[in-house]
Amino acid sequence: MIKPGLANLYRRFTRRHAAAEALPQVDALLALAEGEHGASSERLLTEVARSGLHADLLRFARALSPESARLGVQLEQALDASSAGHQRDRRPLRSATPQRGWLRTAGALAAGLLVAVAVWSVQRGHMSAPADVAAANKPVPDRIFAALSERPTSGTTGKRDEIFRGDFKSDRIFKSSEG
Amino acid sequence: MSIDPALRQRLHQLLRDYGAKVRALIEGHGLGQYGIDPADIEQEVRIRLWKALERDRNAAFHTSFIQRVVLTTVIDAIRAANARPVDPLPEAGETGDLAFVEPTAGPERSASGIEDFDRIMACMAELPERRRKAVALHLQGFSLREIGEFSGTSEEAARKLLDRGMETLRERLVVAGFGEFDD
Repeated sequence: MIKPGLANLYRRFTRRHAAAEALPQVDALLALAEGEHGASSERLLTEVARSGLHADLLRFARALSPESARLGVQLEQALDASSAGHQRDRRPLRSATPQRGWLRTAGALAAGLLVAVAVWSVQRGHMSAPADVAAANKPVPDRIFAALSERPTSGTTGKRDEIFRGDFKSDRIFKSSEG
Repeated sequence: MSIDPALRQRLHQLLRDYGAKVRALIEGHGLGQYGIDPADIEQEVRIRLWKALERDRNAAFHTSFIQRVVLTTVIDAIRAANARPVDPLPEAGETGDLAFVEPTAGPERSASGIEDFDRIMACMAELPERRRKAVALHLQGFSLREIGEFSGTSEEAARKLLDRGMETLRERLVVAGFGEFDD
């Protein structure tokens, strides 16, 4: 007669009432799978000892660990490679950007300078025109009132107006003493 | 987060590969017996991990995070399966564990019955706690190294606990009329 293995019987019967069992907390399951010790993992270990479902989940969690670690590394590598590629793509843009910046700045400065010169020129034109007109139309002093001040300052000037000269000789026609 | 097409394709490929491994592990560890569909778990894990990647790239890198996603998915699925209405249990006399219980049956058939299992459990309950736990973990299929790791002892200490526990259990089982079991 074939004798059954005790372990076989134990596993079979400890899985019979899985539907009625309280399911484990994921954190406690992970902690126990990683060999951590604490109150929650001790309680869970007691459940694992008498529940096939808990034992299967614990075994599954342990088997999952290396695969999950591998996926983590692969994801990191993929994302790093992608971001490195993006940086490579961006590098020429970065080197070109300052040149364009300088050109842009120089252009802006030149344009600004031109505008400033133009504005200055226009303003100067507006300012100088009235001055010239004013200068050109400078009123000549009235000759009537300028007579007194127009005396020659040098002695070699021409003759003064006879009519006002002190040595004016009266008309001889009306001079009675002359005869 | 915008992901360029090449990276998106690479990430999807990685998650597909991982999902296939998760599915194989579920099947290999007999979790399908708890009413879950490994293909559904595979798909759900991929969806959850992709959403996590879209939400926060760094979060998805940690091993424990990835494991937590998978375990949560599996446990949620088992909970959902447990909540579903089940087929009625077979009547007494139909094929099932109860049908194997016969008064004249040997240890194999006697131990197949729930009542006998309860007696085995009663024998185990008489063991000191540390030995009982070592025996139970051994019967669940864990190695000495794992038993030591879970119990916070060395592999050698676990072996001693197990040897003494199994010796006592066999003695109790003989006394209880079960005879000897292969182990």
